[in-house]
Amino acid sequence: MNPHRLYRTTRAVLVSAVGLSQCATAGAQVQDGSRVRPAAEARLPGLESMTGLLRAPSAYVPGRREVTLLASGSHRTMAGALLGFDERGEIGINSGGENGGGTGLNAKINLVPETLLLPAVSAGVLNAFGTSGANRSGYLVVSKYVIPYFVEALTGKRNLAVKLHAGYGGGLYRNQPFVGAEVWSGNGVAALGEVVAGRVNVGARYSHRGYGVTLGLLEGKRLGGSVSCTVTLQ
Amino acid sequence: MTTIRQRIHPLSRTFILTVIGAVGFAGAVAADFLPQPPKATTPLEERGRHILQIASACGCHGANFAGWKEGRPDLFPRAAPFGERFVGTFGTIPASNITQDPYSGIRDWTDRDIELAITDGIAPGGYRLSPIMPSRAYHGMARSDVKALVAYLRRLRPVTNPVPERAMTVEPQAGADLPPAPDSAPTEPVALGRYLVENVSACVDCHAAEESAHGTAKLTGRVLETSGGRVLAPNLTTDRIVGIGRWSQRDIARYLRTGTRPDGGLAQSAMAGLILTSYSKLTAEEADAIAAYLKALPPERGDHK
Repeated sequence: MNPHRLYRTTRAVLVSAVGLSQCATAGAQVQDGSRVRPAAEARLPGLESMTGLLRAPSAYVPGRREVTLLASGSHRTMAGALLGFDERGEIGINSGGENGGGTGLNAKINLVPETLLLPAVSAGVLNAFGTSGANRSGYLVVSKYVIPYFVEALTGKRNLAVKLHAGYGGGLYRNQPFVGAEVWSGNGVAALGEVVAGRVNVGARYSHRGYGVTLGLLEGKRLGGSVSCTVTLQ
Repeated sequence: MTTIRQRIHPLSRTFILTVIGAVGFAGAVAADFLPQPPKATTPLEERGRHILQIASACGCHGANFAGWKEGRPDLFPRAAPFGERFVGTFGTIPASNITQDPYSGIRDWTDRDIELAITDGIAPGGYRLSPIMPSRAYHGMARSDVKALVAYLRRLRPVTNPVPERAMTVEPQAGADLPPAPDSAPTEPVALGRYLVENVSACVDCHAAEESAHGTAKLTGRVLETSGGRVLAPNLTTDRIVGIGRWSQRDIARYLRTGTRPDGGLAQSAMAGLILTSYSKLTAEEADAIAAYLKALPPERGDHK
């Protein structure tokens, strides 16, 4: 491995390990049962340091005062943080990456909040200033969460939740539509599938009380994953 | 220099516009797809329709108001569009058919019969309804609203569905006397909110501590048995840890009408069904009034586990 890349990868892993361990301590202090979202509603990051599936973004943003620390690795290894503001947007910052990639800034704004009937609609940008190894990528995305109660009404299956996503983006998304789906079981495990830039990615995700692990098989040939911890600041 | 418009391919622009249009269209279709009670033909019936909708849409009786159907699941959501059947140590109580069907519904009941069933839990012949029917909450419903509700119940389409008899281990008894109902609904926001919480939308039925009587109910939450297992109907007082003390009045009103929580998540379980079929029909003033009343409650904690 290129020594420069090895250094950046090691740095990202160490930053992630320290950050997540601090997050775990803080999480234990500030999370109480009444404020933890259902697992299927967790605003988990994918592999691109933003709330989403694997490479596709979702229209969801972290809640007010929610901070997520994350580490991810696929074509590039990153450590980063996501901050939600006023339930209407998120700012993500990440460091690491290939080709000497530096620090990148992601942003997403929720244009239409989700209701029981209407989906959420958001617009965002990855690597807004073109400063990391990723392409600058603007996108528009629509997401709908079908809660377990309605899945049971429609299918008779208990404790399943479904989240559907569809959007369009440039850059990483190559000026093409993208779609994705998550099927959540009652024990906090989800199966993920998405089509991004005409390529299929599949994966799995686990969420428990603010912690998340996402693993994926990208384009049928490359593995990727992320770990994250979310705390709500008092 | 290229503009954003030039950089987006025309087909992609079409896609984006299609997605945005589809979102609105899907919402409209989904809203229409939900079972709707029949239209009213007079202002009195219109008021009755509104009361029925915000009174949990008389949901136990089903979206078609025909009561529980033999052979179907006991509880929502799988019992829909028919009503629910409640099974417990108290016995087996199927929701009755309240449509205008002459054989299995209430077409032959007089208006006074229906009023007494709603507000006092007494059916024709002195037959006492089970306490699952929230008559003690509805006892405080304004007389004008009860009359409007009865007028609208006459509009319900007849559905023939003979509901089996209930089987209770202990027959229901008359409760303590309750204060008389007002002639009309209050208009002052907090009083209107209390009226809706206690006497119309019957929030107390799920959110009040089990032993409390109507009128003195503390909305400190309760554990409910549902088809999906035990569900906590949360504490609705202003306690900042276990209650909704962190929610603003606007948060509460928005939640009631859309199901969107302050953290951006959605209402869950039976509350989601209730919001879709019932509380989303609250007017902005009514939702604000409920929120104002809940925000006026002192913080309290229940002892449920």
